[in-house]
Amino acid sequence: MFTEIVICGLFQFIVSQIVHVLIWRTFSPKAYPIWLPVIFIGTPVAIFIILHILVFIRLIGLDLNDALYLTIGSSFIMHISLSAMYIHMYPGIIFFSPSLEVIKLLAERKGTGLSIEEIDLPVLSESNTIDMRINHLIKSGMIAENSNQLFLTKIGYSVAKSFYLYRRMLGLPGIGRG
Amino acid sequence: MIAIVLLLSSPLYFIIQIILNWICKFINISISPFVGCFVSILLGSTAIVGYVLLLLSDNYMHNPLEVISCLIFTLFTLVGFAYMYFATFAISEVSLHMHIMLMILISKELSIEEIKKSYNKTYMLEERLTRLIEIGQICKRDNLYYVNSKLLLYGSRIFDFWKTLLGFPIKLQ
Repeated sequence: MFTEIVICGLFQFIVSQIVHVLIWRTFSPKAYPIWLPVIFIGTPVAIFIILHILVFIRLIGLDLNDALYLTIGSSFIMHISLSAMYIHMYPGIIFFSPSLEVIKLLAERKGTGLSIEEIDLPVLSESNTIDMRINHLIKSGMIAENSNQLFLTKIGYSVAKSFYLYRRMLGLPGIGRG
Repeated sequence: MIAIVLLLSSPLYFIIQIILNWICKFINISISPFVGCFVSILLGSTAIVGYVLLLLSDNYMHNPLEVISCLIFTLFTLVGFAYMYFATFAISEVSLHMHIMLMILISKELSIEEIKKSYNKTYMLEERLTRLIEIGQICKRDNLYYVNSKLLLYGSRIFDFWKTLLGFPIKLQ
């Protein structure tokens, strides 16, 4: 049973990845926080529906029993776990991580180190950091600007407060080191 | 049963991290937040894999293929949930978006200039260098920084490959 679950879970994940790459190659959607969950949840659901249609019109002979649904359900958990990991990773893929850029820059030096003054990364410029993030937060409705002052919207307050409480429960300062 | 245990992995990591951080505070040991998170994930995952091995103990000889498949299923699912937990923690620790939101939450209102003053390029670079030293990826000798481990470097290569696959540039333009 577990062999089928692993194969079925990997199949769902690989097909979802192919759909994702094809869509991104056709037009790269800006609203990825909406598109990615839709693709990674929608693709297995579509496979599930197509499978049922094929069984009902008798194109494939498959016994739709409890064991099959248990296999599909368990494989879906594996698929969702891998997909959620990928969705969490995605911003790291499209945005440039300053830490990774530092490592790459130091690796290019091949044994000769760099002083802090010599580490000049475009990714850390004001326009690529603070300005870009503030624009994202305003566009996504997390913060708003009024008379040059930034404040949290209702949804932004809920998100920030949740993370603040999460950190306090861990015994850490409410705000990370950034 | 195994699926339910796997679904409970993130709350388990969270509880272990709370206990670990409070123990470290109590016995006055300084631990990097990332190291604390990593150790919690490692301890939680070990406990879950151990429990799964215990559940499978009757099948080791009768059905080895099923046991291997079950372990692959457990590891794939666990890696996904562990990464999700790690990423959520990382958002709270390093995400610039979250840092700005938390700065505003604490001060109620903040101007862009005030954010730029307390979160400038030098501060960001110093914080990242300190963190990379803490996790052993770089080292500092005679005020010069060097690569110490290639783990993150290889990780960045995977990200570059995926950028290319999706049609994004690998260099910042």
